Amino acid sequence: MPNKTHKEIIPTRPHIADEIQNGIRFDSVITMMVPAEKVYAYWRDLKNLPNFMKHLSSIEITGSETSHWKWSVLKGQAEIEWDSEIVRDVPGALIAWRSKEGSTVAHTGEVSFRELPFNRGTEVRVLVNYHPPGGSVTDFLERILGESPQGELQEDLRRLRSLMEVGEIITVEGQSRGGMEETFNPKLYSHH
Amino acid sequence: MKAVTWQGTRSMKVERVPDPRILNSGDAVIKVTSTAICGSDLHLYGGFMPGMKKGDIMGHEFMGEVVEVGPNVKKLKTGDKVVVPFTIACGKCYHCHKDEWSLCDNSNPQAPKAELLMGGESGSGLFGYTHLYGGYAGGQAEYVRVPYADVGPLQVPRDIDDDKVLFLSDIFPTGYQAAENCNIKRGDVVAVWGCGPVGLFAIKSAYLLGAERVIAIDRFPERLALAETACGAEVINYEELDVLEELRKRTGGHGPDSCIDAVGLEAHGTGLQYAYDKVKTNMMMETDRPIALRQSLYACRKGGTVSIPGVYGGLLDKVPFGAAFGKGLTLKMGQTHMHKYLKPLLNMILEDKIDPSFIISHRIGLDDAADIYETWQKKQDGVTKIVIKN
Ligand SMILES: NC(=O)c1ccc[n+]([C@@H]2O[C@H](COP(=O)([O-])OP(=O)(O)OC[C@H]3O[C@@H](n4cnc5c(N)ncnc54)[C@H](O)[C@@H]3O)[C@@H](O)[C@H]2O)c1
Ligand SMILES: [Zn+2]
Ligand SMILES: [Zn+2]
Repeated sequence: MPNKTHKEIIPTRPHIADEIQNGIRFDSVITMMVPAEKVYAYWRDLKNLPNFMKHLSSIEITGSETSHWKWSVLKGQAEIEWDSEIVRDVPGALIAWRSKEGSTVAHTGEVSFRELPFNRGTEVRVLVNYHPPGGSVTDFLERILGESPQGELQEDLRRLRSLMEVGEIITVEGQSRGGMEETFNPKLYSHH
Repeated sequence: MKAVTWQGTRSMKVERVPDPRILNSGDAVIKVTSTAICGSDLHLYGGFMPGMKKGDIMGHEFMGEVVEVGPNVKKLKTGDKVVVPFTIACGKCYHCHKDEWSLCDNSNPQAPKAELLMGGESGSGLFGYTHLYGGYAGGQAEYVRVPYADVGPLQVPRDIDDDKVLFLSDIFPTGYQAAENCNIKRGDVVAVWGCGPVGLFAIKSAYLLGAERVIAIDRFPERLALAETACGAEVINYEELDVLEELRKRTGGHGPDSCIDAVGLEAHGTGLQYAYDKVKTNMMMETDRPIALRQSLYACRKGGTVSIPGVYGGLLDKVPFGAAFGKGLTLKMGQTHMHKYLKPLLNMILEDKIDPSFIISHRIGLDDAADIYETWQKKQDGVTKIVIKN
């Protein structure tokens, strides 16, 4: 990443559409050691999103700016769907989207990418605004968004960072531990 | 395979568990030939560190032969003889780039747990060291899975004795970093609390880095003897002498230029202070017993450095921060940035500048590993370091 002075990098102030002022807002930020172009390109290729968004069970690209999202809720017991459209797209810097009219969960969102000076990586900032449909806000939060939407957003960003920096997300799922029945891995014995 | 598993506070078991497999494309599986029990394992055994679960496989000091590699492993090959550093690091993140390997951003799959405790981003994952540090299965077993296999494992010559290089997996680099953190200058006097493996390597390293004198503090005769004869330190038995007074006298009234706390959160002590900490930790009003840390802060010379390789896990009581502030001390601490030290310290061993095997007192088989934890904790039977041979 080239060193840039403060002047050259114009901080892309999150573009906040007027209508999101009244919703429930979540935002999070993370910094990763890859160029802004790389993260932007990965995110803009929307079919990559399920790779790091835990609750996004699938995404279907329906047009150059539009996509259909399936989001798993209630600990995987149910799924909600909506159509989304990109409303602003600044290559290398920002993507903003909104759910199309008639969605169960009306929301707007925005992700911005900002390369920091002195080789300190790229700051990725996400902001999502939900507009709860009727009912109480807490009910909506608990039922649809899960226990800790803010924490989950942070987790999604952490997975994105691993994908960008390492190419893979490390796991301990499936490792051996006490109390399990013994099984054998034939590969461990074959070369002798 | 067989493995040592944690069953609860002061309860270990050797049991048969599934063989490890490749879980990420950069993994390798190592056939463990030698592995050791560490002072850090005692904090898990004693139930001092949070985040253990029944069945967790223990062990973070191990070496052996590569028997399987994942599809993305480029450098390591089956058959290679390797020592594995206990901190797990990706090699690509901000902190890995800065040589701060134990602070890797990507290697702790359970980072949110650690963040609650740290009040910030999690450090790296560690083998066999609680779910706060990732919950990775450890190496006190016949086989172990090693992530980021091209980043961590250090290749060592096939014909070298395991005992000479095994401690590159943790305690030699840990003692070395502890001494390096002291920023030792010619003529310096360094005091080291704890003559366990970490303390002993800190003493050796302080001399390698140019210290004039090292004063070592413990209470077990066999450990003090090793500090004196094998490492060349002057010693203080804290059960016989007043440590602070003694250090002052032996340093012309200044106190040591730097102090190393190689004891950590389960320090033992004498008198009222120890009783106070025991009661408080038992009542869960304090998580750690920082007796050596308190002493090192009081003892250190004005403008000096206190280096803390000893592990702390939570909240400390009655730490004389005013003394540290008043004397303008520098404090350095943390898990060791292992990867940074592997090659330089291996070279020292190959050049015969040091033979780390001098600390070994016990060599046992895996079947006897569960029972020996008690011996190690109580420092019975002249134990200084236990190595498990497969
Ligand atoms: N920072 C790291 O990366 C890292 C790595 C390995 C170990 N450690 C930590 O280093 C510490 C030492 O490890 P070890 O393997 O040498 O353990 P150990 O248990 O063998 O040694 C500790 C020694 O401290 C002595 N001691 C206890 N209370 C004392 C006191 N008040 N004053 C002076 N000495 C006292 C004990 O008698 C014992 O000899 C542990 O806390 C361990 O967790 C840290
Ligand atoms: Zn250790
Ligand atoms: Zn890293």
